[in-house]
Amino acid sequence: MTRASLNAAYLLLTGAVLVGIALFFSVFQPLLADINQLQDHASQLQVTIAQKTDFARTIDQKKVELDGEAAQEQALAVALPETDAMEDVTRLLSRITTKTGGTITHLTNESDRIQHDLLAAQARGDKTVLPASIVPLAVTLEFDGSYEQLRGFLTEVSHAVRLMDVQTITINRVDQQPDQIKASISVELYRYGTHP
Amino acid sequence: MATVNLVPGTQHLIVAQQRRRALFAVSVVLIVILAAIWGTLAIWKNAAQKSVDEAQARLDSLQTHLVETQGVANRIVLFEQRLQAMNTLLTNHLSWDPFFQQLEQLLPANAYLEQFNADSTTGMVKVVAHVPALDDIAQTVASLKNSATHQTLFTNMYIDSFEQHALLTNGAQSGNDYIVTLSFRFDPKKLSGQVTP
Repeated sequence: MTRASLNAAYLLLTGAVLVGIALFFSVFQPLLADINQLQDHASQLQVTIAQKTDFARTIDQKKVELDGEAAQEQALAVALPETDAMEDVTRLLSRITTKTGGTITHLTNESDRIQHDLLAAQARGDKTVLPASIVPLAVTLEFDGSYEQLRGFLTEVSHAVRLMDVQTITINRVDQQPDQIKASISVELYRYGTHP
Repeated sequence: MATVNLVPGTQHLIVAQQRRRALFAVSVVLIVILAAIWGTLAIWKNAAQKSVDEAQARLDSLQTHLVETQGVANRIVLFEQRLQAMNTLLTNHLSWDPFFQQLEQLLPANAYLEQFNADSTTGMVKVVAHVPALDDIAQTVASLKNSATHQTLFTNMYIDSFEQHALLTNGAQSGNDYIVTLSFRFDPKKLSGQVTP
């Protein structure tokens, strides 16, 4: 038996140990690091998936609810539209006047003034009751009719499909016509959105 | 009995051979263990990669679904924000019915209004009324004015002025009444939040 064959077992064991050490540092450790990184990434993805699934489920659920409340959504869009829709306001006031009697003899759009006043108030740091997402609009109208018709008009305005608040009322009796009055009414209304 | 070593070194060679076999066996076991560890780690990594890929695919699918429902989400957000704004507006929504009901009830029957101005932003009211006699001015003020025993919407009652006024019938004076100017206040909050459109 040669000396080399005698040492082969020792050489093989030494080689195996050395290869093992080399593998540990060059292969096993990087593999473990990769695995840890992948597992962390998978965990993060699972958290994100859970959040997005919840979000998607909430949206689906709310969509079903909203579809079931289409009438309310429509009513809300009419009461608080995204545009000034002043033509609708005019039409609405005309209908109310027709219903309650009386006549609107003059109407002035005061939206620019009221928006300017609001911006000035905000610049001064004054407290405003309006939410930031609301733009105020205003009209001042002259109303001719009887007191009862005016009362009816005010009641109808406060119950109108478009949200309107009567801010000031000035009433004057008409000479020679005891049953007739002339009223100047300023009405504030709103649209959803931000200031132009 | 005495022993004789017939083949010198034989025992040594047997032990060396056994040690060599043991060392071979240990080496083989070590190599197998190393291979097993490598294989296990590779399988583990593949499984982790597969898990990540599956999660990513699910996330992509969800993302696509969410992009598709973006319009719905916007609609929901708009509805909810608008509803919230609407609630705030309704809290301050004014109804003048209680105001005029009280004014009609509290104004004495022999008094009638000539001029009227009310401002909900300041809570100020100015009234010009006709009353038949001076006493009726006091009666009008007492009737309108809020007190501990007589609850009304109107406070801070103030007589700005009054003057005698000639009543004419067919161009001829038929008597006198008084024109009184009153200022008072009301709390606009008491007119708000009472009706919904």
